[in-house]
Amino acid sequence: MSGRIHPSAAANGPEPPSEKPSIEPTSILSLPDDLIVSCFARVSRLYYPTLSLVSKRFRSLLASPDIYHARSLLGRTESCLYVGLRSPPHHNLRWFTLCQKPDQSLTKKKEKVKSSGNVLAPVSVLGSPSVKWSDLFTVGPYLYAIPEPIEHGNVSVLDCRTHTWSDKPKELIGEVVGLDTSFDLQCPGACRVEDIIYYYNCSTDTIWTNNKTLCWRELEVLEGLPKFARYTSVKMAEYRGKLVILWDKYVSKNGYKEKVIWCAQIALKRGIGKVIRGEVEWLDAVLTVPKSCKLVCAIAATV
Amino acid sequence: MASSSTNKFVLKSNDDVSFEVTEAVAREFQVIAHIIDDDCAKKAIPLSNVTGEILSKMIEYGKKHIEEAPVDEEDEEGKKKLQIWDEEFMKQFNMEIVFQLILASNYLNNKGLLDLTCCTVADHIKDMTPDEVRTLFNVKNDYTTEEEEEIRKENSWAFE
Repeated sequence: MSGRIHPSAAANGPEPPSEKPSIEPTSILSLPDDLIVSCFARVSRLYYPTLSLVSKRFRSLLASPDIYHARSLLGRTESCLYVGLRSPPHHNLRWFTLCQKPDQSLTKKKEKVKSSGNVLAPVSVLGSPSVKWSDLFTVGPYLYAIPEPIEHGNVSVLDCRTHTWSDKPKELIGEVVGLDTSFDLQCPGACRVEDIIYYYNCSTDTIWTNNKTLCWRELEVLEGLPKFARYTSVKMAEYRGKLVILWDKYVSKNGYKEKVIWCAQIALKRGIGKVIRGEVEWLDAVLTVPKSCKLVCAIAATV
Repeated sequence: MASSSTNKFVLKSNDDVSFEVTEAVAREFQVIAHIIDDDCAKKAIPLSNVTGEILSKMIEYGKKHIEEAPVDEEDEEGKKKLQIWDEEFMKQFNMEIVFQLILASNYLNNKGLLDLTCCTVADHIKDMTPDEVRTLFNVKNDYTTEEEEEIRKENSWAFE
């Protein structure tokens, strides 16, 4: 296609030198920081842990606030899933984010089913909320931890770009807190995808859906999702317009000392009537943890 | 419009290759547009940071984007056609040329080409191991074995 176009090299000047001037082989590192950042900002954050392993300059650029500034300017922000785990005796949560596994090709052979390559990578978070919180929600890159009871204390805010917690007086973010969370809060653990609320009921092992009416309906997941045992910890979150479900499962080898966190991404389709059908797009073991670890929360932030 | 398609300017690369282009094509590069506006473009415009090889490719891109510019914001078909051409255009270059195009389109300030070239780099990075990225982008691994081990250990919950 490009063959039709000819460079308009008018022979006005001297002939090009017969030998090209000697140019050093150009590495991406010969570009100034802002241009490398401009390239990285266009890459999904799922790949950042892998890219950080390439070289020291890659790592420091990927950790710089500039990259999030560039992502935002370029309209390249995306939803990232954060998962909080509590690992006793530590009281504070350890945070993980969903990303693509580095050296993915090494593991491909083992998988029977096509692996999505998704894993949970730990994020080092600075500081921790100073108060006990009852609920979490996100607005853009900020994750808000609502104190319990709300009358007390500050609201803790995690900036998911810098992974730093800070406390904000609740009056300052009153408007944010006042967002339409009231319905969700009636059933803790519920999550919303578009205008539909999803809620997992552990006693019946079903996911219920509700479009703000009084009528709850069961989510029809055709295949792929296992039955959850009653002691299974199940968390749901909205992620890129889809529903993700995380759950833990004990590993029988090594005498049940470990458990595996599983994650499934479910595309939601509206069927006839008010039925919502879920289709499992991928399902993977995303993390192995000591059995004492507890899956506490899952939530998506936009960075 | 008539004047910008008949007015000609000569762009001169740092290795002394000259290209005669219409004003419209020259104005695709903001730095050159400023030179023209400041009326400093009487003779050939020297571009000290761009080789003839790179400049010829940039002019090819600029010409195409003038000739085939979508009629308006709603011209989805026109946009799509140009996007397909852009993709084909980038396929002919190795990474070294892509990096030089990034530098040159930043220097001459062509937002479209800068965006296209940066996206090309970003598209290549996906689904690669760190080693593959190093090879493709000509990057030396400057971590010591211990340091790399340390970073992988930080991620050990995830990557073991």
